[in-house]
Amino acid sequence: MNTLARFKRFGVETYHVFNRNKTSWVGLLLLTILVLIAALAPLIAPYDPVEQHIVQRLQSPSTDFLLGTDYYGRDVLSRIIWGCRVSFVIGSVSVAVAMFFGTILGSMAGYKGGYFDSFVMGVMDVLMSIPTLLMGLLIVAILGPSKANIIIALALTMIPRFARIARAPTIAAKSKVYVEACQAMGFSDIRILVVHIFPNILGELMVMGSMWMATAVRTEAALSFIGLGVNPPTATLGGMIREGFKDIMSAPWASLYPGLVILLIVFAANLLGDGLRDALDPKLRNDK
Amino acid sequence: MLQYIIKRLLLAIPILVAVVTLVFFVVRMAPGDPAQVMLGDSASQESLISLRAELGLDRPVIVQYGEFLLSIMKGDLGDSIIRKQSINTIIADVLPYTIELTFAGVLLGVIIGLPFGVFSAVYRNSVADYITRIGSLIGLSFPAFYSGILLLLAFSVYLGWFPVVSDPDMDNLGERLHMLVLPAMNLGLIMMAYVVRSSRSALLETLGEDYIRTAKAKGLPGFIVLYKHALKNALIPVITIVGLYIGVLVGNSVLTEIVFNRPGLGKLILSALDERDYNLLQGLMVIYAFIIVLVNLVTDLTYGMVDPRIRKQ
Repeated sequence: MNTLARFKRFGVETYHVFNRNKTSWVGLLLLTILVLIAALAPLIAPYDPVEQHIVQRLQSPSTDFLLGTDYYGRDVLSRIIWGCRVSFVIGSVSVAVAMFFGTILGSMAGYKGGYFDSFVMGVMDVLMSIPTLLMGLLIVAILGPSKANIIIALALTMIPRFARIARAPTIAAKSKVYVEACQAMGFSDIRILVVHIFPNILGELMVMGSMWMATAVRTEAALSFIGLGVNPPTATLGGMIREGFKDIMSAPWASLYPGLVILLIVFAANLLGDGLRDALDPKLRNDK
Repeated sequence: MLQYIIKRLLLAIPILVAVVTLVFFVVRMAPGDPAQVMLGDSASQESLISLRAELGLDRPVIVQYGEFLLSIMKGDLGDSIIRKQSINTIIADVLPYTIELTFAGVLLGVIIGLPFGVFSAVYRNSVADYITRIGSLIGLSFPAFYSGILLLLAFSVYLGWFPVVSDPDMDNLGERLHMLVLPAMNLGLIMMAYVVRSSRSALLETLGEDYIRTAKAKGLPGFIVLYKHALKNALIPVITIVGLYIGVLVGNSVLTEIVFNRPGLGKLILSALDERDYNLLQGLMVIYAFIIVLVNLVTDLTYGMVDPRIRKQ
């Protein structure tokens, strides 16, 4: 089978997987809308997210400011739209980094076995015993609040999860006759991993990717809420809650709406992951 | 079983050492001179040198690391330079608050979550199951600080049932429980979502086993099959839930303490960050690592004791 046909088959299979479970469609739709809003921020945000309308501080929602204004007179809606951007960039880049390194490390460990395997998985165990939020706290507090540092911290705690997913099927496939045949034909290890082992774990990677994206977005928001997020005045959803919390009695919109959007993003990503997992689970597949 | 316990204990030690090492070196990566950071830009040269000596910063990093490991083995986390106090004492002062909160949260989560999980599994694919599943998915999507703020607004501000700041007097039991309710609810509601999901899927798995079919075929009434045969076995994986989600639990307890302004390890982290007290931050991370490794150890051992397949190995 050539590469194009392989991709086509993968596309068709993915479509069927989605169709088996309607909730994954809802999750995907929600997430797509939110990503579009974030991507089109410069076009759709009614105001500049850092522009201060000092005379219109803490205004309640009106036709001028649909979701009201914050303590500095900045438009809450525009800040939410730009804040989504930060959430999605940090969430997706950290998951992509973790998926890339985790899959490579895990499948190499499973494929090579022996001391290399024990060493890699030992390091993974250590990384996994530090909660995501604490790792974020530690790294961002020490190295400073920047997008890159937050991504590093999040990716570090997520790499082990992807390594684990990649390792087990690699070990299982290693002893299969077709893999031995590939080795006998002199194919390189990398080719065997990419062509014969990787497709088997793609489904699970997608499930974990969307679930951990949810965790990454939530953790980034928590860090911003604590005051360890991307530096102000950049709009972040967690940072908006932090700033709005002070005026929660007089201007609840400044903190409650951004929180609702975090919840929506995390929920959409979880819904997608959950639906995909059900659809891919062979035990649940046949009896519906 | 003894062999299993010893093996698990031996496995926990290298992980602990590695986490402690990681924390030590990350803290040492802080840009700038810690003494300068602590004393500010206006500090004199003499006071900088004396603080460096006091902190042991004038010695090679590897020596500092060795001493750090050694003192941790003795159970000493060092001193906070900012607070001029032993870190052990600072942590011991607030630890009961965090433990109390976490226990109450987990208890609440299990007590409410388990029946929902069972219900959802038994009436699988019904409308009620669907609502429970979506509800639990929303629950575990909630950032703990947001749910905390909503609870605070609803029950403290509008209804006025609970105080806004939960800083209880530990000797006054009534006050202590009263101030525990909201933070524990915040932690418990999110924990509940995890409990519902894992008990549901565990029970679904057991319900599909052959011995359940046999029990039903024998003509046993449905509820006996459910409670005596299915639930007992399904509970085994649920026991590990605390171990499995200890990371989530720790993160959420930090956020809950911050939102409710409640003393505890999480609040302490925040002040360590504000005061740039890296020694205290380091000590807190070590304590958290200990707690997590310990909880994992205990859940693994309980699991081993409950599950005969592991016990016999």
